[in-house]
Amino acid sequence: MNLLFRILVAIYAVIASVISGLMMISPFADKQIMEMILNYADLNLYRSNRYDILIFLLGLLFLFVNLVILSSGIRVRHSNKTYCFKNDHGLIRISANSIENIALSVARKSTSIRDAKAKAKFKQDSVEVTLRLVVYPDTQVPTLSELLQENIQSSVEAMTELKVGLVDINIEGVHIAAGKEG
Amino acid sequence: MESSFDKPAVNDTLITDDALAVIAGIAASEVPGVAGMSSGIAGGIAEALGRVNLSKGVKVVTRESSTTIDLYVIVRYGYRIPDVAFDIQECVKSCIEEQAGIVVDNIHIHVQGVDYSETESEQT
Repeated sequence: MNLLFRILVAIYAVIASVISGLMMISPFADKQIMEMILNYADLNLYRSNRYDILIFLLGLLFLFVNLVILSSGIRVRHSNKTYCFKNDHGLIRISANSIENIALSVARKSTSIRDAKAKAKFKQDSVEVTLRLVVYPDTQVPTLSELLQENIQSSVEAMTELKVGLVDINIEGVHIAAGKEG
Repeated sequence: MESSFDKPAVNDTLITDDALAVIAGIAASEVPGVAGMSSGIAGGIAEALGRVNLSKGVKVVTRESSTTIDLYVIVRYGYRIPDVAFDIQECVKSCIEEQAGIVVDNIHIHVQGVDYSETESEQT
């Protein structure tokens, strides 16, 4: 869904930019050339019935993309899975966002991490955390990730009493800065 | 807005859900380990417009004789969430019983996030 959505948005952006470019050019362009283009389009696309279905499909695609974009804004995001347990007073729900924040705060403490993004997923009775990191140069990734995995596991378990199943660490890049302070 | 009747005291005392929500919200934010209440998207917009909302992140539902409160909280980093949640429930329950004389049946805690800003994490 995510990939499909991105492709659709890319197609949409390209088409929209072509149309906007044409709109910008059209008042200043050579009138004859514009007329030629319009005539060509008129003759080949509008008058002849060869491309009727194609044009209809294009319109449909446009409509579909519009609907997808519209609905993506409306969709409720924060309802993505919570971990739920009960005590005598009522329910307690822990959102995936809180687990992500715990993982991030552990990652922030390390000086060799430039940027971190976390994602948490709840399984039956455990939680899986995926960290995506951009590190500074001269970091020992195996040592760092082992340390992170242990710390994240212990702090999530200490704070939430949830079992941590997996802590995946993806190193997405190494940050190179001209004036790095450290 | 629905309202709940104050049963033990005078019959014509009426305590609205809004009032209960304010009591619950203040009680919850005084519990150690609570960084704040989380108001959803709509609440965030209202806040940006300058409306101070004391009952932010609190939902009170009254049906005939039972009252249910939903609290959306952000917990401070370093506190055990089950303990904090239990403290909130106890605190809100006793506060509402004390101030409004209403017995709350269920208090649901929704932990929406964990606050890990620098100053807080250094204190703990």
